[in-house]
Order: sequence, then C-alpha cells, then structure tokens
Amino acid sequence: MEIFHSLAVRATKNKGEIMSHLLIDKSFKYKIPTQNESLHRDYSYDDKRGYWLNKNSGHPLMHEDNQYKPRTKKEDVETGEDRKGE
Amino acid sequence: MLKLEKIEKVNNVNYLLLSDSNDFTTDYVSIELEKRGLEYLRLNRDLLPNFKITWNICNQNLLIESNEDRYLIENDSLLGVYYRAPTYLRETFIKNKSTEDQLKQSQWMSFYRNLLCFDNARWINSPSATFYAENKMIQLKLAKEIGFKIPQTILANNSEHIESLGDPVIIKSLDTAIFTINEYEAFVYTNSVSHDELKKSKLSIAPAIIQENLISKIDYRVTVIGNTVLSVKILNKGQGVMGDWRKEKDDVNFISCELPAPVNYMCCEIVKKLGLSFGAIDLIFYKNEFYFIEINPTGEWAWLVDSAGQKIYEYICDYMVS
Repeated sequence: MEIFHSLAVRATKNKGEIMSHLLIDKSFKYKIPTQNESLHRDYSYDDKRGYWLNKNSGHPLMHEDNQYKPRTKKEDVETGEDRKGE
Repeated sequence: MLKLEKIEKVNNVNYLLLSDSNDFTTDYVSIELEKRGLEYLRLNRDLLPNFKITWNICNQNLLIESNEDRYLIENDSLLGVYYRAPTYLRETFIKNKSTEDQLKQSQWMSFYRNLLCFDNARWINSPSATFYAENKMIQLKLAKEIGFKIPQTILANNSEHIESLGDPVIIKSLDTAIFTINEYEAFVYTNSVSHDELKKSKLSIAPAIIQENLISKIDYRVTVIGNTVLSVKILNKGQGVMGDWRKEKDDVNFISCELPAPVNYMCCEIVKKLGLSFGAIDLIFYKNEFYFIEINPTGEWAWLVDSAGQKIYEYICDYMVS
C-alpha cells in the first residue's frame, strides 16, 4: 500500500479550477491505485488457508515486516474501513 | 436438492470469513483460526467466480466447491461469521466498469447479505446492524443519550447557523466521501475551516457535518469487541495532533492505555445499542473530558497489532468461538 501513498498528493487547487463545495475543495487527492505488481511477485494468496504467504520464506505476509501491511487507519483510502475492498 | 451423499468428502465450515483477497487485515483472523485448529473458510468477493456455489434454501445448506475442496455451510454448524465487506456500495464514482463487472458486484454483494440466513452464528458484525450504525447523526444522538459528551454539531447545507460553533469549525462528510477529480481519486478527511471559507462555499449542493472545533485535543482510538475494550491515545512527539491525525500517519505514535471505567462502559454500551459486536470508536480528550466523535462498525485495526501490541484478532476469534 505504501506505493499508493508515495503517489498521493496533497490537495491543491489547479489554477482556474473552481471548487464549489468545501468537501471537494479540501479533499485529499491521490493517483488512482493500480494493481501492485511487486505484491504478486513476492507473495501469493493461499485459497485454502485464507491468507497471503511469502513465496520464498513461506511465512505469512502479516508476520513479516513489509510495505503491504496496514500501518495506519490511513489505509481507509484503499481497502480499509470505508471501502473494504469495494 | 443437493445430493450430498454423492459427495465423498465435505469440510463442514464452523467459521466463515467474508472478505476480499486484498484485505490483509482478514489474514490475521485466518491465521488465528488456523492456529486454533478450527474449521474455517475465507470467501473473497473478488474470487467468488472461482468457486461453484449452490445454496439449497429448503435444506438450508450451502455447498461451496473449488477445484480441490468442498465446503458445506449449515445453520446448525456455522458458529461465527466475520463480515469484512461494505454495506453501502460507494463506487458510484467509477463509470468505466463493464456490464459484467457491474452485475458481478451487485449480485455477489447481495449473496453476502443473504448469508444472514445463517442466524445461529455470531456475526462480527451483522450487515443489517452495520447499515444502521454507519449513520453519524444516529451515532451522535445515541452517544449523547448514553452519557457521552459530544461536540456541538449541526448537519447543514448552508452556513447561516454556525455562529454558536465558534470559529474555526470542523467540516466533515456525512458519509464516507470518495470521488474522482480528473486523474485523481479524492478522499474527504476531517478539516478545520473558517466561517469565511464556509460562507464562500456552495454548501447547498450537499449537506455536511459542521462541528465545534475542539482545539488542543488528544485523539483516542477505542476498539470494542463484545465486552473487551482496547484503547490507544495518538500522539505526535508526545503531543495531541491538530486536525485529522490520519494526515500525519508517519509521525504519530499509538500508545496503549486504559480508559476511565465510565468511558469504557459507554463505549461498550454504544456498540451494544447499535446492535454491533465490534466497533472502532474515535474519542477526543478535551479539557479533561472525553468526547465521542464517531464509531466505525467496520473499523480498521490491523495497524494496531504492531504499533500498539494489540492482538485484536485474538479477541475477534474469542468472540466468534464463545
């Protein structure tokens, strides 16, 4: 998910752009997330066990220190509490 | 009728996790259920077309077949459901979905909701309760009735009645707001704004929550699972964070802490009164009192495992197993 954050940009109003509502004007803007290729290169999802595993070590993704683990509630933006992978 | 007698080996599912394969938080729960040696199945909405699903409502059994395995879900044997899926579809901002994808999304989501037929199981949370609980005005009304202090709050599509709220004020969306602006997606956090900004804004096009701004506050994140309450306070260099702490995600610390007993009690109460078993509550400590801000029935918690040592997945499993 970190890759998404690195692409995120602070809301900036483009010159000449007229925002009509403060919720739009003050929104946090970020590049539309794309499929993270490195996740699928390093980890695979085990259907039977129901979690992601490191292809090399065999350890669960969530037991390793890596960029994919949710690190704050900020993960809302991607698949967290506001969307749940919607 | 499902001819189960023809099925050689069927795994009975006692715990069902309804999620999405990219929801890593659910991984924690799968790992914990596996560690306890329990029979569970994680169903991911994005991978559901990979399964053959046959639900016989007369017999009340649901057969789920993959290439290698068969799983049977029955009302008598399903004990717990962890529901990690939205109750409101918020992808209204995406226009380029194929017709097939639109059909897939709406019908599989409905399939998930229909799983409420399995009413002997303990749900975290029931989507019907989440549907009700995800309404901020309902939350605030209930919080006040329970005894929480709440910030002075109005819901309005105008700025004519904000004088009593002080200046600046807080503005936030009534519901989660995600939309596209040109090549970007945009997400609405809580913002502090002046009366002047509000008056210049065309608020009439959509209502928003406008709140008293509790400046010099400390944020607390409280996770309630059944009667278990786990809380952290959120500090940046030992101080409370001005504005929405999520904007300072890399700089804040999550300090595990105990809440005063009456606050603990009220946190459990609001979860129960909303019909939930799980809730992630945002509180603010301001002028020596705790203020209720909001509760999220599908609240995120995975980051607290490492950052605060809170093994919330253990409590989630405990709740389902109990």
